[in-house]
Amino acid sequence: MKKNQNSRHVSYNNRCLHLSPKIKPLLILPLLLVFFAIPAFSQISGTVTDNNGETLIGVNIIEKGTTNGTTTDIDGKYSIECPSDAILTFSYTGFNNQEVAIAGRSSIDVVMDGAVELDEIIVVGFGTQRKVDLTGAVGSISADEIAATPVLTADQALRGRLSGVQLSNRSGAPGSPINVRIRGVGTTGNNQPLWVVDGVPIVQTTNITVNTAANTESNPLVGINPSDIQSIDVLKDASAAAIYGARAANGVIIVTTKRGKEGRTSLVYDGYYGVQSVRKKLDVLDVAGYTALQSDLGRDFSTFSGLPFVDWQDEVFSQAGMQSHNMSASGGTENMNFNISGGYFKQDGIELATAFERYSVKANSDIKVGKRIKIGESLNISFTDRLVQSEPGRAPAFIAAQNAPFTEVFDESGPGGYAVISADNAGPAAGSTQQIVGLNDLSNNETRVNTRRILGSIYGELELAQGLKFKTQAGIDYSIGEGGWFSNIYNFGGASAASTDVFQVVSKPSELTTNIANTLTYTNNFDRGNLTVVLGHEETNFEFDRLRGQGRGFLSPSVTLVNTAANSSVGQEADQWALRGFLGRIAYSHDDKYLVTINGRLDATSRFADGNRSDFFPSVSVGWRLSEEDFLKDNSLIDEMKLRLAWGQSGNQFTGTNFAYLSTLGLTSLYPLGAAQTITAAPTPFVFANPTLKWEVSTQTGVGLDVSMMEGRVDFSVDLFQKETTDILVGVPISAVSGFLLPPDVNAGKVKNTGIEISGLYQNRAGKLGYNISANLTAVKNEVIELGDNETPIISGYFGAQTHRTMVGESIGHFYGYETAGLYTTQAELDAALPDESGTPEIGDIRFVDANGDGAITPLDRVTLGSPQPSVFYGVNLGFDYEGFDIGIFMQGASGLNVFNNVRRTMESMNGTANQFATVANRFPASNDLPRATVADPNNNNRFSDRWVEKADYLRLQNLQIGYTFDSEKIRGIGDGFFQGLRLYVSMTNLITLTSYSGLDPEVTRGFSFQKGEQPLASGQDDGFTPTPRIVQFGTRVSF
Amino acid sequence: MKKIFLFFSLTIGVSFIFTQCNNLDLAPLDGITEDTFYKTASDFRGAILASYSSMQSFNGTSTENLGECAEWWKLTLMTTDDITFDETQLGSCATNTAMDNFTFTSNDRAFQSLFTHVYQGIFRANLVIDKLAEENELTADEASLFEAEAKFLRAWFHFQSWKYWGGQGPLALETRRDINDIALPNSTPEAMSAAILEDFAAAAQNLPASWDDSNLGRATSWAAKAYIGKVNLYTKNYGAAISAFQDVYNNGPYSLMPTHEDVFSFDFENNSESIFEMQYASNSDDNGWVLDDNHSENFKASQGIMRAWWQDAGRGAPGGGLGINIPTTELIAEFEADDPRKTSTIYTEGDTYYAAGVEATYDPVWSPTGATMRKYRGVNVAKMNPVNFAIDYNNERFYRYADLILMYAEAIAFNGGSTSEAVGLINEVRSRSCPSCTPVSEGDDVVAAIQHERRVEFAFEGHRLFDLVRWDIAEEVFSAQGIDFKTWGTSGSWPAIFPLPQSEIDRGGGVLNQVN
Repeated sequence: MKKNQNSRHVSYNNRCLHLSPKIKPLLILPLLLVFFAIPAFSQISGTVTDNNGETLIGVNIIEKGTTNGTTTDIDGKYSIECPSDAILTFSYTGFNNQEVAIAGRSSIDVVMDGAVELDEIIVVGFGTQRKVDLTGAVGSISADEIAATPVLTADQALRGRLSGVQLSNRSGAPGSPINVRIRGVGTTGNNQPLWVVDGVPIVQTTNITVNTAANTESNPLVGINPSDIQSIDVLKDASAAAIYGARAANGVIIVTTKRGKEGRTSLVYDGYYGVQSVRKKLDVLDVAGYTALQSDLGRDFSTFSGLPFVDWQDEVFSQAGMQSHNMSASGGTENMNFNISGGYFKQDGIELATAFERYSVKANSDIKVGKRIKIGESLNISFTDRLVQSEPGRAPAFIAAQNAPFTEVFDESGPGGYAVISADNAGPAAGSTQQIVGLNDLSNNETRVNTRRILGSIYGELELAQGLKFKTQAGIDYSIGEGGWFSNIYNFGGASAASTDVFQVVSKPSELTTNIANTLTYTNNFDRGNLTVVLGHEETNFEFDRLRGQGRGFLSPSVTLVNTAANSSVGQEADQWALRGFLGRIAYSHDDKYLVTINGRLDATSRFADGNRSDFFPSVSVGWRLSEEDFLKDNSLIDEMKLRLAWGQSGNQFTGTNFAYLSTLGLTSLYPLGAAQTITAAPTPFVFANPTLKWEVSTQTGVGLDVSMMEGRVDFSVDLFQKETTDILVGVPISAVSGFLLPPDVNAGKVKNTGIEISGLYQNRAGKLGYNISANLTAVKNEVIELGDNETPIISGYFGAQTHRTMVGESIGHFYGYETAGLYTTQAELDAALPDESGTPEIGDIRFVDANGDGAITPLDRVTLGSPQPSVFYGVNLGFDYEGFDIGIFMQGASGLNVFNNVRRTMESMNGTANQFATVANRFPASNDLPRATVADPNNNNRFSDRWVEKADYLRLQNLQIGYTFDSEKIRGIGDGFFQGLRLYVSMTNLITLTSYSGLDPEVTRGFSFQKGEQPLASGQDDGFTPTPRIVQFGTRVSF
Repeated sequence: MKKIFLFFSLTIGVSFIFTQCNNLDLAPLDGITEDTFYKTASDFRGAILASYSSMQSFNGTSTENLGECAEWWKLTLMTTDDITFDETQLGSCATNTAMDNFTFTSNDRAFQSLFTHVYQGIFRANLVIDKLAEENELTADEASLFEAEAKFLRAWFHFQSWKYWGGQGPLALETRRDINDIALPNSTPEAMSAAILEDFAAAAQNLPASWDDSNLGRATSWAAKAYIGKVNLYTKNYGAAISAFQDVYNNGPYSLMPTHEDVFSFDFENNSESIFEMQYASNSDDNGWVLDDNHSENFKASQGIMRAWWQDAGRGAPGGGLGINIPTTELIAEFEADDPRKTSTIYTEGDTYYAAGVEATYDPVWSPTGATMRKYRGVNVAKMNPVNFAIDYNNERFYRYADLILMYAEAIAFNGGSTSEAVGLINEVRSRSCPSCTPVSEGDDVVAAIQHERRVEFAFEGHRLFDLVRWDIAEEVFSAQGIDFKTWGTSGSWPAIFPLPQSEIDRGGGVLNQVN
C-alpha cells in the first residue's frame, strides 16, 4: 500500500527543489560569513542514502530554524557548517523528512526513509494524476512491495496488499494462472481485470496451452519480470477505469516498468536463492487401518497386513530450489534516460514434473529531441519454459494418497525401476492403484509449455503549443508458444492406463495483439484552477493461430517429428477480433480543493452484430479536499482529508466465443461413410447463434474518504461501493430440443456487488527504532438480482456434475446440494426415515434433510451450501527497522468462503479399494462422525452434500523478512567506491496458515477439467492440485 | 488557438486513417457461416451426415459437460441383468451404482446426455428439411431424397426418445430458432408413435433400396420398412408389425451371416445382416474423449468409440481398460454349454485376450465375475490396430436382420399366430449361431424360447432392457436380483422407463413436465 503524502511537505519540497539550484550560491555566501563570525560553528559532513544503500543526489539539508542549508553532491555527500547543538533537517522528494541532532558529532550519515512518496504520481490510463488530485478509487503498490516476497508474476505481488483486490491460485505449480478479483465477482463470464503494461493492454487468453487439460494453462503475465516493475496501479472503480471502457468492467491494473532518471548511472544486482517445501501432506490410513476398512467392505487383504507402510506422497513431493537474478543499469541525462535489465528466474516445483524458467530482457528509454519532441520505448522480451504434469500424471499427490499403503513404489526389476502394479503387490486394489510416480517420470511423460514473447511499445510525443501535447503510441504483444506432450511406451499395470506407442503432441499457438493509441492532452493552469483535457483514439486487434500436430507410433522415442510417426495428423485453429475506442477525460481542480474528473469512452467491437457494436461508457467523479478549507487548514492533526464521490460505467464484451452472434457451422463434425469408411465432413452449427448480443455494462457508484494525519504518521482510507453489472453475458443453458448442448451467450441477468474497503497505516519512530503497521480489509456481498427471462437457475459443475448453482437472490456459483443431519444410528430412527428417491438407508448411513418438508428426500431438497467467494478478505503488514536491520511481517487472509473438498469426497467415500483418509477410522459404528463403510452405498451417502463443503477461512503468515542494509560509508570503502550499497535478507513465505480447512490449501479456485479459463460458475473446487509451497529465501541487493 | 485547432483536426485525421485500416466486420476463421452453406448436393450430404453424427455421440463422451461415463451404455447395459459394474471402479463413475440398482434420479446427467444427443439429431434432420425449402441448387430428385433421409433420421431419433420416455418426451418436427421460445411440451405416446411411423413411411417411399459403395451406411428404404415393423411391435400393433416384417423378410436384401462371430467381425462391417449400423472409423488423430460435438477443443473429433476404455478388463489386466462393465454370472449361465455365442460374446478363463498391442491369455482375476465383455472386440482389436488404447473402430450393429427375424417371430407369437412359423424363424437364427444346439420344437414354450434366444444372441447390444419391458417381465427379473425395478410413467402403452432430465424440465419454464 502506498501511503498518502503530506500536502504541506509537498509544497515545501517543491519549493526547495525548484529554487535550490538558483539560490544555492546565495545561500553559501551568508553561510561563509556566519562561519567566520561565530567560532563555535563546526563542519559537519556525511553521506545520505536511501533504504537500499543507494546514495541520493540533491538532498536538501537545512539547519532547523535558519536559512542555512546545502544539498548533497553527485556522490550523495554533503558538508555543512553549523552550531554543534543545531538540528539538521533532511528532505528529499519521495522520502520522509528527517531531523537529526548534531550533538557534537562531525560526521553524520543519514538513511532516508523512502516509504512515503510525497508527490506521488498515479498512472490512470492515457496519462497520470497526482494522487492528491485523484477522485476515483485507485490502489498502488511500489517496487519495494513487489520485491518483498519472491514472486514469479506481477499479480502475485498484489496478494493481500490492496483493499478490494483478492487473489486465489489455480494451483501452486510454478507458472499457474491466478484469479485476480477486483471488488468481487461481477459476472458469470470473464472476471479478470484488464492488465495494461506500459500502455499495452494484455489480452488474457487460454490459448497458449498444450493438449487438452486445463492444467497446461499458464499465467499470462509470466513473461513480465516483477523486478522490472516500478509500480502497479489498480483502478478499482469505473470512474477511474472508464477510460478503458470496453474492457474495464472488472477493473484495470496498470503496470509501469522502471525508467531511468537523470543522474549517476547505477548498476544494481538483486537476486535470491530459495528452498521450497510442502506445507502439508494428506493424512492417509496405514496398512492396519486400510486392511481393517477393506475387511469391513468384505475384501480380504490379510496377506498384505504385515507389510510396512509406504507413503507414496513422499515420492511425489520433494524440496525444490528456486532462484532469481536480475541485473539492471539505469541512468540518464537531461535529454535522455534509459533503464536496461536482464533477468533469470528458475523455480522447480515441489511436486513431480513441475518447473518454470524465465529469461527476460527489458529496455526502456525516453529521448528528448529539441524542446518539443519526446520519443521513447518500452521493450520486454521473455523466454519462459514451463514443465507441467502430463495428462496421465496430474494431481499426483491426490492419486498417490489413494494407492494401497503397502504397495511399493519402486522395484529394481521393474521398468525404469518402478514397480508394476498387479494383483501380486496390490491385491484387489490393483484396479485403483496407479503408478503415479512412474507416470510422472519425464522419460515416460513430459509436457512442456514454452513461450517466446515480445511485449513492447514505442511512442512519440509532440508539444504542439504550450500545454498541448500530441502523443501516439504503438504497442505489440506477440507470443509464440511451443509445447508438447511426449509419451513413451510404458505399462505400469493397475489403474494406470498403458501407453502402447511413442506418442507426441506438438502445439504451436501464436497470438498477436496490436494496439495503437493517439492522444491529445491539453493542460492549463489558471489562477485558481488546473485543467487537463485528454482526447484519444485507440485501435486494438487480436489474432490467434494454433497449429497442432499429433503423431503416434514413432520408431524411436528420440526422434518425434510428427511426420515420422506411423499415424499423424494436424489441426489448426484461428480466431480474431478487433476493438475501436474513442476516449476523453476532463480533469479540473479548483483552488486545489474542488476536484472533478469526467471520463468517457465510445467503444465498438467486432464481437457483436452491426447494430449492437458500439456503446458509450461515461464516468463522473468529484473530490473535495477538506483539509484545504479554512476550518481544517490550521488544524495540527490532519494533514490531508479528501472526500470522493464517483459514478461510472464500463463494459465487457468477452464471452468466450468471438462470433457468438453469427450462426457458424463447425467443421469438426464428421461421419465415416462408404465401404472405405471415408471420414466425411458433416458441417453443422454447434452453438445457438444469438444476433441480439450486446455489451455487458457495469455501473459503479462509490464514496471514499482519504485522511492523512500527524505529519504522515497516520493514514487511512475508507471506500463504500456498489457495483451493478447488467446485461451480463452469460451462457444460459437452453432446452436441448434446440439441438444444442452448449449454452448460447445471451445478455441476461444482473449482479450486484456491495462492499466496503478500509485501509490504514500507522508509522512512527522511537529513537533508532522505526515501526509501521498497515492493514487493509474488504467486505463484499455478491448477489444475483436477475437471471434471464424465466429466471431458471444455472446448475453447474465439472464434467456435468451438479455441485454449483447460480440463482436470483444468491451469490454467483454457490454450492448446491443436500443437507445432512448426522447418521441413522438405531432401528427406530431408520424406521422413521423418509423415502428417498436416491437411496435406501440402513443403520450407519447418512440422514439427508427434507429441506422442503414434502415428506420425501428428492433432488428438490438440495439447498445453498455456502459460497466459494470470500465475504471478507484482508492483509496486515508490520514493519520495523533498527540501525540497518529491518523486519517485515506480512499476513493475509479471507473469511466467509467455502471450498468443495473433492479430494475428501474420494478419500472418505469408504466403498472402493482406494486408500482413504486416516479420519475414516472414525466411521460408524466406532464413532458417529462418519457413516459406515459400504461397497454398494445403497443410501448414496456420497452424493453431493454439505459433507463435502468445508469452511475455508484462513489467515496466512504470508511472509516474514529480516534484512540488513550495510552502512553505505563502509561499503563504499571497499574497492574504492566500487560498491555503493549492499543489502542482505532472509525471507520466509507461506510460513503458517491458520485454517480449519482439511485439504492441502484453502486457496483454491477451480477443479480439473478440459475446459480452460476461470469457470466462475463452478469455482472453489479442490481437486488436489499442487499446493502452494513454503519458501525460505536468501537474497541480496548490491548496487555499484 | 488557430494552431491548436489545426493540430486537433490533424489528430482526428490520423485517427480516421487508422479507422479505415481497421475492419470491425470480421468473419470467423474457423467455420462457415450458415448463410453461405446449404446450396449444393454436397453441402446437403454433409448436413445430413451431421444428423448421423449425433448417433455416434450416444456412445461417446461429452466429457466437459455431461461427464464421460459412457452414458448410453449406462442406460442400456448397466440397467440390465446382463451387466454389472466393477465396484473397484466406483470412483470414476459413481452413478453406475444408481443405474445398476434403479436408484437414479431425474438429475442423473446420463438422461441429459441422451436427451441432448437424441434431440440434436432431430434438430439436424429438421435443419435439412428447413434448408430444402430455401433457395438451393438441388434437383427435385435430390431434394426428395434428402427429405426422405432427414425424415428417416427424425423418426429414428424420436423412436429412441419413445423407448426411454414412453413417448412423453417432446415431439420436435421443426427447428426452434427463437431463443425465448425454445422448449417444447410433452408429446403423447400416440402422437409420437404416429409421427414416427409417418416419417418412416415417407422414408420407405423415397429412400433408395440400397446405396453404392461410397455411400454405404446411409439409411435405405428397407431399413425404414424394418423400423416400421419394430415400432409396431413396440406399440403392440402386431398385425402391422407382422406385415412390415414379412415384407422385409420376403422381399428385402438381407441374409444372416454364416456365424455369430462373423456378424461382429471388423472385416464385415455393413454386412448382409446389417439393417442399420452406426459407423465408426479409424481417424489418425484419435482422441476418444473428443467424440461428440460439444467440446471446446477445436481439433478433429474422434470417429472411434470408447469400447476399449470401458469394457476391456481392468484390475491389472494388460492394455489399460477400466473393466467397468462386467458380464453377470446370470448371463454367463444363460449360454448353453456349447453355444459358440458364449465365446464370441465374453472372455472367460483361458481365452485369448486382445487389447491394444496386447495378446494374452485371459486371467479371471481381471474381473469380479471372472469374465469380460468380448463382443465387437476379440481378434478384431488386432485387425483394427487402434491408434489409441481406449478406442475401437468397429461399427455398432444397431439393427440387424437376426433381430428382425426374432421380432417377426415374437410378433407372430404374441399375436397368437402360427407356432410353427414362429419356431421356424427362431431356429433360423438359432441354427446359424449355434449349429450344435438342439433346435426349438413346436412343443416348447415359444415365448421362453424367444426370450432365451434374444438374450444370448443380442447380449450387450442395447436391446435387453427394452425386451424385458416389452415382455412385461422386467419387474420379475429385477426383483429376483433384489432390485426394485420401477418405471417413471405408465400413462401410455409403453412406460417411461426413465425420467426426463430435470434440467430440461427446469429449462422449459413450465412447458415440459416430468413423465407420469
